[in-house]
Amino acid sequence: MATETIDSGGGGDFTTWQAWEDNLPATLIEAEVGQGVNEEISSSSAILIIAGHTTTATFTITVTARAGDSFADNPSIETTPLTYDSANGCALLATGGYASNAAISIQDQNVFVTRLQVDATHSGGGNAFTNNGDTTASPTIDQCIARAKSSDGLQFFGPNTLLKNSLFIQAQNNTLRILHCYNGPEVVNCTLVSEGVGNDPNDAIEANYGTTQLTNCAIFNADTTDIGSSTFTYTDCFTNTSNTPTGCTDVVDTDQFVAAQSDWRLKSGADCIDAGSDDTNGTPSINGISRVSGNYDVGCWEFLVAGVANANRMLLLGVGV
Amino acid sequence: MSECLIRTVDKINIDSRQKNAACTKRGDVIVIVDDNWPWTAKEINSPQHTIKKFPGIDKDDLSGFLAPEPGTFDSLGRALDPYLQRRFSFLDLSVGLPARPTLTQVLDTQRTKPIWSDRDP
Repeated sequence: MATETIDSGGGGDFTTWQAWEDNLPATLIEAEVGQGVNEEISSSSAILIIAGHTTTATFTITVTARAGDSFADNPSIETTPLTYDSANGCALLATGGYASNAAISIQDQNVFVTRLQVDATHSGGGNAFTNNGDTTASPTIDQCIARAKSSDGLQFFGPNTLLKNSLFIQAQNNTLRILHCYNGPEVVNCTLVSEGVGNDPNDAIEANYGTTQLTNCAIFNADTTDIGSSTFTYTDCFTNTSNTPTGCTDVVDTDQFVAAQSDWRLKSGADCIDAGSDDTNGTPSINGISRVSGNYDVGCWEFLVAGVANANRMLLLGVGV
Repeated sequence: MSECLIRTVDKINIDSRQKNAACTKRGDVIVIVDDNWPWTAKEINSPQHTIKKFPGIDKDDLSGFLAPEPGTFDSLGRALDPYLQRRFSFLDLSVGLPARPTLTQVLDTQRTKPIWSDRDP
């Protein structure tokens, strides 16, 4: 496995994500890992396009943060608002419009994005993630915070896309959707929300083909949960949308989160706590907790009971916090 | 004012025509950054890249070199042409750049000077 560091200050192997990606061989002969440092990289052009590579289940491409440099490594994560905040760790910020200027564009197979913050702030169509029209790329997004300000800003099209333990935020009012998919993804222990005040997005997730499986997901502040011709299945999901599909429980958003719109940690007494079902893709949580069988929380966060879950965190990271 | 990392040899994927189209080719601009950029040894010594300085040109004025080949998409967001190239335009490295190229020299859309080149259709 080749692991290389991206640091715009010159302290790593490459100064930009795109230089790292361009240096990868067209046909991978080992797993490739790019790890960013604790900084926010901002650009009005595309920050990282992953395309043109032959990968395998073994020779994968992983985009992540260097150990200690992710928001998930923040020793104060339990008391820090859960939302995009570049002060908390490695972050990619797209300020330009159009999919071609996305923070991360994924067109290859076997791509993993973990432990990153990704944001797109262009009100006219900023993309945090895009497939750039490719309907086959099926990334795995794990322990990420992704926010966008357009109906196509969080775009995952491949049939085997796996979204887990991540927070997806729609930052624009009155838009079409939070997640835009083509083939239905599997979504496990994710929090799908809109943070705008006023008109909510029309739908939480759009998918038009295949089966969209949502397990242990917290879906809040969209008009309805889904739209499209995909077959949607819900298992132990919680929502406040106007519809409540089978497998979803209707609850109030302000009862779940420390501050709906700005801090998506679960708060004490939330209905989402311990209400999920066991799923190997659902652990560890976005805050680094190894979830306990029978006690999975719903959404990306795992609520800590003081003193108990801290032990889980220590076991996971191997260090005290 | 700006510096570019430019590919000097084609990146070729022999497994797939579609993937090969998505690989960067000779003359493609990979990144555009501010001048005095702290390039790393891997970037400076890369046998597949070169670094060009554009002391009189703001990096935003070069951003067109990063644009992909324009495509069309259907109402569901699918690309109708699967063979779109990573970059629509590139620098013709067979012709030496002047030491201090002007924006007009680089962005010569009329091709009166052989620096700017569009991809063959």
